[in-house]
Amino acid sequence: MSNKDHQLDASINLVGQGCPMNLVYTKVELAKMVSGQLLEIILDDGVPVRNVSRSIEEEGHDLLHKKQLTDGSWSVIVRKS
Amino acid sequence: MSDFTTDQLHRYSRHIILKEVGVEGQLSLNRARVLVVGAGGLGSPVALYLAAAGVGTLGIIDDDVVELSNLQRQIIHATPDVGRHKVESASNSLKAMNPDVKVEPYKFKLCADNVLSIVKEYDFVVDGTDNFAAKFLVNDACVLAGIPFSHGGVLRFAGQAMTILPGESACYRCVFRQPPPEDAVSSCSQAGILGAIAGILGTIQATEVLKFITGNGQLLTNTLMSFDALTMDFRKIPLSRQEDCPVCGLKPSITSPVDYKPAVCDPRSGKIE
Repeated sequence: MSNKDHQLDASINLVGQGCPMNLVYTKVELAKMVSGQLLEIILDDGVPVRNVSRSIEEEGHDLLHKKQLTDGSWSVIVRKS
Repeated sequence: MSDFTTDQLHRYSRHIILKEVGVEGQLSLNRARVLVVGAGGLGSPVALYLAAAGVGTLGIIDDDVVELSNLQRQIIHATPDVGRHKVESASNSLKAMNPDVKVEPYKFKLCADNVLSIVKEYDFVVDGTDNFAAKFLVNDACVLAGIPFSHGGVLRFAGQAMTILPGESACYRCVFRQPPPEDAVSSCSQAGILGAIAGILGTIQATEVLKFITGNGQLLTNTLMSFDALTMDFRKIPLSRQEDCPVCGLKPSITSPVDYKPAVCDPRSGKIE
């Protein structure tokens, strides 16, 4: 799994998932991974991308990359702490 | 790896999104075994909140039946439960609250002969009893078996709580050496209690259990927390282990649980006679 700049270990599409379930699914996915692995999260524009991005940083993970996709959703790439 | 169903992820979402609990903390709760001694004023909020939190196995012990006068504070029971055994009524409420929880009901009194074998089955014990003999019995058994527990007591408008990690922190007997003489104390039935007081204190005890299981914060160890709801004053009294404590001290005189009122356990029902 990869996108242009990053070799991804997992990707999860949370388009249509509101708060806080998008964060719950993100945390469940991160819990399956080991430190240093990369997760891509696809999130809706607006509150979802703002809240989930902030929460994963508050939990100590590295937010490596954030890019809006052509359909308006966001791809957020996180390195698990 | 999480084995949660989608329903469970929704049910526990407010725990999972807490940084301090998360997926791992919720899994620890789901694996935990907690014994609630007494399905009364304290046991009601304790058991309900632990079931809601997804504590995997809840033991609940009580030999009483539900009476109308219980319902003013014992919120795990409802009016149609009057006359039913408290552990049956409590099991129903807990199952309705959260079908994930396994309830282990004990329809008899704890006594010196059965207490060790029961508390040893659990990771944590909550004292929700209403009399000093039972409080000392729970303390001694948990200290002897090395099982962490929460002491709680309420009367009128006041309550107190203390968390005991045997071998590490002061036990109930380090602070209160022995039960007061029987005629020196009022029971709930004589003294009265504002129903919500049991809710405050039981909820504090449930919080201690959840903190212990998920490894968060500072427990009420080496501390007697007390409050007076009339003034809403809460205070914490620092305590320490006592070398001369008869159960957890250097030379303990109590090496097995004791019943304070001379009591005989009927091995079939476990009932004290």
